[in-house]
Amino acid sequence: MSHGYTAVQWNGFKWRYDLVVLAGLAVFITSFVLLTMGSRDPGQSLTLIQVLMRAFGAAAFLLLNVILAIGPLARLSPRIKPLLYNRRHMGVICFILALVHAGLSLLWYQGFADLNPIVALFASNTRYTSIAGFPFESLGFIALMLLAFLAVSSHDYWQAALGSTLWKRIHLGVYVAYGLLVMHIMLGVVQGEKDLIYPASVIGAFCLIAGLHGASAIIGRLRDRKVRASLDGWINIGAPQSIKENRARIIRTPSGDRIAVFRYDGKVSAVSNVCAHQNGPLGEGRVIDGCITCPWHGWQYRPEDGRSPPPFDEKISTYRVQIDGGMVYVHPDALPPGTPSPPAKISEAKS
Amino acid sequence: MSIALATALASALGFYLLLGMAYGLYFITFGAQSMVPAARGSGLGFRLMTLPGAVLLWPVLLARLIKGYPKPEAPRALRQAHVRIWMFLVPLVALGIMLSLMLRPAPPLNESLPKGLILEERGS
Amino acid sequence: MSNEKNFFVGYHDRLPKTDRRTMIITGAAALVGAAVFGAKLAVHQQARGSGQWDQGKIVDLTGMVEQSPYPVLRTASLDGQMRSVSLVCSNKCGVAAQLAEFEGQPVWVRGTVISRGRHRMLAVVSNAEWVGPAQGVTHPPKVQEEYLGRAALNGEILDAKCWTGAMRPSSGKTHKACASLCIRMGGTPWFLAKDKAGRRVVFVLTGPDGEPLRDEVLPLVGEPVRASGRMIRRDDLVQLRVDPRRIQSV
Repeated sequence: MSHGYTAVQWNGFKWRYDLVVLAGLAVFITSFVLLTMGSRDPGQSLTLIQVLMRAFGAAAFLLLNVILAIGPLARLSPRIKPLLYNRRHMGVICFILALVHAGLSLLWYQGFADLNPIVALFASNTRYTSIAGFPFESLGFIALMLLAFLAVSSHDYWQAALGSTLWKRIHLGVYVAYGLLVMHIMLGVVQGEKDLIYPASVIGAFCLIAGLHGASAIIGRLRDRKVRASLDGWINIGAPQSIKENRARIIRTPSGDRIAVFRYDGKVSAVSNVCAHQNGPLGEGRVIDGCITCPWHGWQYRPEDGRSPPPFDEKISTYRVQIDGGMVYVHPDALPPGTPSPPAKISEAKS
Repeated sequence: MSIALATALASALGFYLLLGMAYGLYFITFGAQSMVPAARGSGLGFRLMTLPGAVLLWPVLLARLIKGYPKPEAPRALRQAHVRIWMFLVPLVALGIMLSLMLRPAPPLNESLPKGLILEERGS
Repeated sequence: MSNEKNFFVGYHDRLPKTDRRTMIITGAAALVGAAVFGAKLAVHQQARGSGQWDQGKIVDLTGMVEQSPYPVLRTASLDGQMRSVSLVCSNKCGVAAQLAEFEGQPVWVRGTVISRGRHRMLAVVSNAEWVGPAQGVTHPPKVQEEYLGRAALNGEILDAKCWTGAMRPSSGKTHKACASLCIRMGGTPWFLAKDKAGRRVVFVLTGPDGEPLRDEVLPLVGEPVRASGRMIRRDDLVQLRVDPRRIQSV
């Protein structure tokens, strides 16, 4: 938002959210460490630093799976949407866990030698042409670098500074990092530990995340009706009463853009379905206090001109809309962001 | 990977971060608000929190500084990009997983050990 | 309107009722799930042996230095029993260079003891003098060398110091890079072989004529390999003398 930045815009929900995330991680790590040390005779276990390495690595990967599951789950069920709200903090926490894991591994396995540990990381295992012997550490290192780029740019400021599209493209890197980490684990600890729980957990997680993304893409496509423009270019949306009050219908134009058509206050307005903040689906939001409110982070826009109410100055595209013969028509050509477009009034006789 | 190549890689990484830190100095003093006017008057906490971003993202920021800042654009949902990435990721990772399981070495056990040797205690 | 009340907006302090219920259930499930999953992952790890490294206790040993193939102190001053105590660095490095002038001589050596089963190593202290000539040391008996026959075995090349107690786990994939680095920097390669009943033996891995191996074995460290060669007992350690070019991945 645009009236000076703060480090973190805290609110009660974020505090409670972060508290639960940190408590969950503390419970996971404590449980793993205590049971690793305690389930065997003393001296038959792992050294503490190697236990911590595993605990932090596993916690980071677990959290990354949770983070990646939230997006598609929120699309599938509106109940999950509040989890999206503070996903960014989880991303940064995930990076910090991964950094601790990497730091411990680098120190313990690659350190204490007369060689730069980063050099040792890439050079001490030379079996790059083998699968089973592959230096899986290098995959983890690259993934950590990617996560670093995501973590450091996890502030609204960077969205403004980099531009929304570039920012989003950088953040798509999370999927590449995820793929690399799956292989980091499969070619690392899974090669050494015999129990099936390790490969089964990783493969199960990957299938779940891939499946959820697939399902949400398919359902999103089915849910947003693709419409044909009529001869003069206007799209017939149907009767205004078929849209719920203060809600929207999302349509997909022939060119693939998504338009959210809102009904509120006896009027109909059409705006872009994409929030200027993190590209959230505005059409799944509601009109609150006269403003379209994004379901992800609550950013608001006036339906008649696509502008955020002062002091904010975010803008989204608007579309021309009219009612004719009891039907709502939208013109699929976007107006420049923030352009006023008069709402169509629903005539009394029809409602 | 040879030590020479790994050293070159590590040096390149260090050099990148060093330049990033130099840019970070500029960023924390003037750069932040010159890119986004709304950042003027933001506190020290904000500047420190965005500093690591400047250190890592400096090539993009420098390019913007030289070439000028692009016009604000209408946000686009990158659903197609998501689909493309997953189309690429799923077969690749699935193949990797399969290979890593198929070529996962069985524990190198022997039928028997030579006689007359002192046996070691258990535990790998 | 009930619609608006049920719509989540993060910066509003009170959550809608349904959202609050979902969040409480999700949070509780996450905590319980984290505890259970952490425990599950923990207990299925393999046991890692009883190697120990007591870094707090510095000891002085006296004995005879034997340099080849890898530095060893033949001493009885640890517990009265005649032992071949391998000498290693505290870090990932070798001690051969500093010991060169003491070959076959009585010396004192200062360090910390790494132990596993019947094996003992001494990690020499790095921040002070750690070796010097010793007087009044009775020469230990001549090295007892015995040819034990040929063997072809599946097993793993590992770093002696890690396996004896510097690391747990000290073998397998996650430790591969570390073991390679140790051996590259001057560590001692050992060869661990197991049978189906879980019995295991370790050998000091050397070249065909008992010479030290280093760069030749690096790529295959920490992987299942097959090695064949002659077995030679020297006191309480057994060497497996192999042609490194014929060590194969299995």
